[in-house]
Amino acid sequence: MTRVAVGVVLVVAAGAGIWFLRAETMARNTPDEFGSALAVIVRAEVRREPESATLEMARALVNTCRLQVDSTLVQPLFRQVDDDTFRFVLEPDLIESDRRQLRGCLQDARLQHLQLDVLDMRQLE
Amino acid sequence: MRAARGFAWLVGGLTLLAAGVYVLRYLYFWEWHRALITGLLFVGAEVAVATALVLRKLSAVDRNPSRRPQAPDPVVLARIRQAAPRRDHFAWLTRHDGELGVFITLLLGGGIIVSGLAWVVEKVAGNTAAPAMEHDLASRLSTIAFPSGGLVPDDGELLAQEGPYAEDEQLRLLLGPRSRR
Repeated sequence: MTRVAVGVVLVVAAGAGIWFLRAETMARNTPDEFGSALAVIVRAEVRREPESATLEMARALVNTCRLQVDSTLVQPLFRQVDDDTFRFVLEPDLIESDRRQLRGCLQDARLQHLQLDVLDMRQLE
Repeated sequence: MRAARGFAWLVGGLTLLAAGVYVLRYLYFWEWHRALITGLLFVGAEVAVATALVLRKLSAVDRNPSRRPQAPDPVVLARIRQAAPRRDHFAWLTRHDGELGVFITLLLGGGIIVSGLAWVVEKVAGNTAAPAMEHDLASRLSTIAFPSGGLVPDDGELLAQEGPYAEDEQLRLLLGPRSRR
């Protein structure tokens, strides 16, 4: 009897977890807020690559990730803030789940020898 | 030994738990590559822990004296022997109405005999047809052979016949029979 109860609890917990993950990781189509923009600041760290390649690699990863959230990179506003820090602007602004997706894509180990860390992400006034 | 075993179980359980939690965390934060790698770790740990559990259960069964095989009960053994089915190794030879019990045997035996006959036919044909065919081929090739009296030689041919390689077999074949102008 105890085993059955534990099994039922585990199955329910697993089902609830899958349901929660499904809801949280589902792509959503939301109407664009025209005129809005999102400013993101990232810190890039490269290993076994020349320092000069940092900007190019960061730009490549940002371009890959912004495609996932269906946002446009405002190219002239991609600039180097510090030695290893970059700022870029996306149009339009993203909803919370898309922001999380963008952050995950940027911080994931997606591009070899490059690690991005999102320092700030906020709507541009 | 007991402590080491407990430590191994602890490490396995913690690895499984941590890997599972991190898989969910990385999935939630859309870090798919990390989720994949951690998922592999989770599956590996799961297989290791499950295998260890099964092996532990098996060794427990092996150690249990009540489950070890003991000398059989003579009454049970006698009953089993009495109930053994009677073996009839040539049952397929017994005649039954409407059944083809010998059919497969006939097919197998017939196949062996037919194979033997085919082998004999192939050997006889190989020893009789091949020489006849070779003879026929040589006869047909005679129509394109050099004329027995040789071709009318030109200056180059005559020069080649007298040259240093005139006795070479390949050259002789090309030149044909020795000719004179």
